[in-house]
Amino acid sequence: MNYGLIIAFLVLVVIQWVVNGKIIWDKSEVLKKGQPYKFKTEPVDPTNPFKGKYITLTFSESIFADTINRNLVSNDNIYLLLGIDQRGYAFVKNLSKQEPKNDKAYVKATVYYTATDNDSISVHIRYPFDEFYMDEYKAPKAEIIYRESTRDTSNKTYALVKIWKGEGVIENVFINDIPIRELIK
Amino acid sequence: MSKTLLKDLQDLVSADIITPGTAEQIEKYFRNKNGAPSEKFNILLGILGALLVGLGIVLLVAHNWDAMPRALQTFFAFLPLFTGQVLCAFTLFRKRGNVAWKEGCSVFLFFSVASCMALISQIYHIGGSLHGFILTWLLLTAPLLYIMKSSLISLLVIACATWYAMLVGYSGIFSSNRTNIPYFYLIFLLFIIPHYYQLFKSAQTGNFFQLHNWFLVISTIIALGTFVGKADDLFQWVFIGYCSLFGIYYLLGGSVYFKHTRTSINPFFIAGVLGTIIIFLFWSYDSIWNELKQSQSSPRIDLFQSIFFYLSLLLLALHIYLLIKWKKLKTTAFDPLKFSVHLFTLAVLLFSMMPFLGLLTINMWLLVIALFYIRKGTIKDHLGILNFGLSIIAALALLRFFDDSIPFVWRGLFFVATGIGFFIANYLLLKKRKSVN
Repeated sequence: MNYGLIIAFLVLVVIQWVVNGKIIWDKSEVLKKGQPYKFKTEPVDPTNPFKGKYITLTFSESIFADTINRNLVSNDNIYLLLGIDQRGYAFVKNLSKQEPKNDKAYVKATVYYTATDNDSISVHIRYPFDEFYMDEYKAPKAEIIYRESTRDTSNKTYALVKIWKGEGVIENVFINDIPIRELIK
Repeated sequence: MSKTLLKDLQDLVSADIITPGTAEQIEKYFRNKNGAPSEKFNILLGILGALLVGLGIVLLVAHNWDAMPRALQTFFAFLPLFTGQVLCAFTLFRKRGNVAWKEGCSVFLFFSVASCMALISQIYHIGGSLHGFILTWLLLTAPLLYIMKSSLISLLVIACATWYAMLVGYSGIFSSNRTNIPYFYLIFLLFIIPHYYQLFKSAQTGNFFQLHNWFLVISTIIALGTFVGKADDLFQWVFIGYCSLFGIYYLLGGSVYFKHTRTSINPFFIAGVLGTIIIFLFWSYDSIWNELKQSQSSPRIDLFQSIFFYLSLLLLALHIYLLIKWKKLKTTAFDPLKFSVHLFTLAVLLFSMMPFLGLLTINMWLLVIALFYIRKGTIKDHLGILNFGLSIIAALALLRFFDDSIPFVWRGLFFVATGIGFFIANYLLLKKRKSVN
């Protein structure tokens, strides 16, 4: 009996459970304790060979006009301090390169790219939660429903995202306050 | 054992050609010999079964059963993983010597990890790139190669690492931005080398060793380009790198280590010959030389900042080292393919501002290679080798058919001469054969 191999196998088994289990634990914590934010969206419908069909959520609140030059470049990690506007949607109050200590309403994101304007710098943001996975038959229908709904500008499309300690988990996507999955039924 | 053979043996005994004792011995020999294929068949079935079930689970998961409660989805995420781990543990304890169990269970666990990760990503809508997913998947499963001693895991690691390298290195290669370098590919390649060496030492005639050769050759050819970053900056170094790789493969394919492998299933030899000739044919055009000249005048990145430059130098040095090391072992005549990479490197570096000289060198060298194979074919009395040499000239002629810079008369004469060459060379060789017979 080769005990070395058995120990190595047991270590691998534990790692395989811990890595996957840690993700579940972290995400569950965000869903349980997180503060809900509504992010206005514009979905489309691509496929991942392992995870299946999803709708990509392009958030309306994806550009931040920064007045300070922080020398940000593509793929830099940033922390977005969030607020809620009068209509109830999330907006970026400010951004920081360091993780906020006292504020809980922040999310870790990355810089897509920056563009310099006359008196400010436009920071284009890439959110970590921009994919909403759906049943393979429902996802294309969801896209059609969404496109039809966007023709009418009075429609409200948004993702409800729970935010906790910099992490965000999408709880659902809504069109006019009705979950997109229910609209397909 | 076939019934026809048994009947033939009975016929031979009744015709007094062989004794009943000899017939029995022959029967016994074939019965023993047939034992091996049935075991191989079991291994193949086990592997195929596990591959199909594993891939099937991945696809079933990809459907996304979003109507299920979250807890039930999580349960199903871990069910295949748990099953795979139990099966692997069982194999480790009870079926260690059984190849079918070992390979089948490892492959099942390999795909179970992917399906588990995919389901969790679905449940919590976790985004992220495909190459990131493949990297995590490989990091969680690659150790199975040594724990389970599974050659199929090694092949899957090579395949998935290549996929990862392509996603990282080739995405946006035509955009103005620099692409990323897939360093993890090199780590995975280094990771499988001890296993490959073990196969080389112990099972050189086995299917897994042959499969590893093919996988490694195809994978490295695909992945080398992913280290370029941005092709415009390195230009001739991209080709020097590839030419060195093909040169190494040519030396390896013809080395003593592969002397028992047939040429038709020797990936190193095939890739070495074809790769080198394709690069030379590519550089037999004047437009690429003119482009090289133009690229020299425009501002470029510092060569010393590019990892591909060092990789090319390393491959070139390795080629020279192998050439010197194995020179003593070979007694054959001058082989131009062995020195093609050196000639090519000198040509593209020295004649970058003199396209005509470069063009002339490459075309002349292609003719030398073609003549080498024609001569070799004649000496060995091998029509295949002879016609391969002629095909190189034919390929040159075919490429020149569309080359406007050469007058029609010259192109026409070149074509006619090549055609006549084909007829005469084949005719002479067949005539020689007839006279010997």
